[in-house]
Amino acid sequence: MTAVIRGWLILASAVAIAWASGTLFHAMQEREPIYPGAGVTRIAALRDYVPSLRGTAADTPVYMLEGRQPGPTLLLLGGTHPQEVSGVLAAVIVVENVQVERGRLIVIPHSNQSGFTYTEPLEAFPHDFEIPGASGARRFRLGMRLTNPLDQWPDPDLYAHYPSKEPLIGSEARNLNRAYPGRPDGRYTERLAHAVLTLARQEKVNVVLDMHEAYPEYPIINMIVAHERAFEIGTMTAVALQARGIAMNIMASPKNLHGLSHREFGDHTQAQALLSETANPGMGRFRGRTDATLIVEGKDDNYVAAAKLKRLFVPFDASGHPLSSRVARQIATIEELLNAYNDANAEAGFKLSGLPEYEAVRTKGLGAFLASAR
Amino acid sequence: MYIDELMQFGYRGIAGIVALVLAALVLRSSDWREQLYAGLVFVPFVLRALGMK
Repeated sequence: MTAVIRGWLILASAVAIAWASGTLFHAMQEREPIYPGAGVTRIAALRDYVPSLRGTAADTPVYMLEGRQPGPTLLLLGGTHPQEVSGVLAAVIVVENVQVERGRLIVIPHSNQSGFTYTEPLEAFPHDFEIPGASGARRFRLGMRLTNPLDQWPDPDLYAHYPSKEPLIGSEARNLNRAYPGRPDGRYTERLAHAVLTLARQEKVNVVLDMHEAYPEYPIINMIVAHERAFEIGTMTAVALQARGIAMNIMASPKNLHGLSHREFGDHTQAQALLSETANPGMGRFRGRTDATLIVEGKDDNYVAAAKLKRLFVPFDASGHPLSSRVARQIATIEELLNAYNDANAEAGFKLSGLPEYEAVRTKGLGAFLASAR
Repeated sequence: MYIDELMQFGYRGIAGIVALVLAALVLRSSDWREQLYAGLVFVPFVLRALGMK
């Protein structure tokens, strides 16, 4: 074989490898579709509140579900940490199902869009997972907890939260839930945090619920964390959930732990700020094979063994913690939070329809409440 | 245009020049090892030139 022919063959192979890699890269940047239901009256974007986000990965859709009658406003955040999928799916189900009669819901399903564009190789996460439905499956991306390093790099040795100067490990500079209240001229994640907080201020949000998940060996799971101004409605929410047999506890937001949504929305906006956590075995250190089945079904023999050794903070048996149950828990929390707000306030409160029932989500599965892929 | 966008275009331009030089090396060299190594290094540089960071 002559050197020229060999050269063309090698170059053609290199171009083929580059094409395959580029296709995969582009697929990771694609945003998963959400099909707004009849209750969505307007789709805004974070750039409407902070124009400098235009054209960046931080810009993300903001779904407005406005009632005909005026009333209070709830801001619902999913995807602050993109691998905490129950919050993302709960937000998507609200956007696709709920209709508001009085008051307003503002929903951001992908709060840190950048985190949806990558997975860390050492975590061995799948890139996506499917939810089966009556008319085909819906595919959802699985992301990571932090902003993609392609959008914010390098990490400092030590991250000093603004404005408290509280020190954290450097990689936490890419954690949206350590970046509030943010600042307009800060790092990417701080600018994103500033935009979400600006939205809450401009829209005069009354209640914020930031939906999260944590691993079963973490003490703050099946928990509502509430700012002191939201502690009353948070407690009423937890009590109402427990009365329905849904184990959900309440915890006060620590005053000296800065950057978190429940602390900074409460301190820097007029809103009552809360955060909810469900238990996701797909995120834990004890987990075995990490694939889409674990994300969706939430079953893991290692966690069954860990529960027998009393190493977990939630019960864990062979039935696991399926995604449908975790999403049902988030949706029930939204429902009881709205009820608690209405009970605690004399003026006309939220009135809405279409929010799925807890048992219906658990038994019918998520596919029954997701629109068909178009 | 922001300064970081200008720097990004500069970065992509330099990566494109390197990719072109590597492609030329693959086609013009008579040593199979040089051709192979240049072909391997070509991949990340052409991706960066095309904006795949």
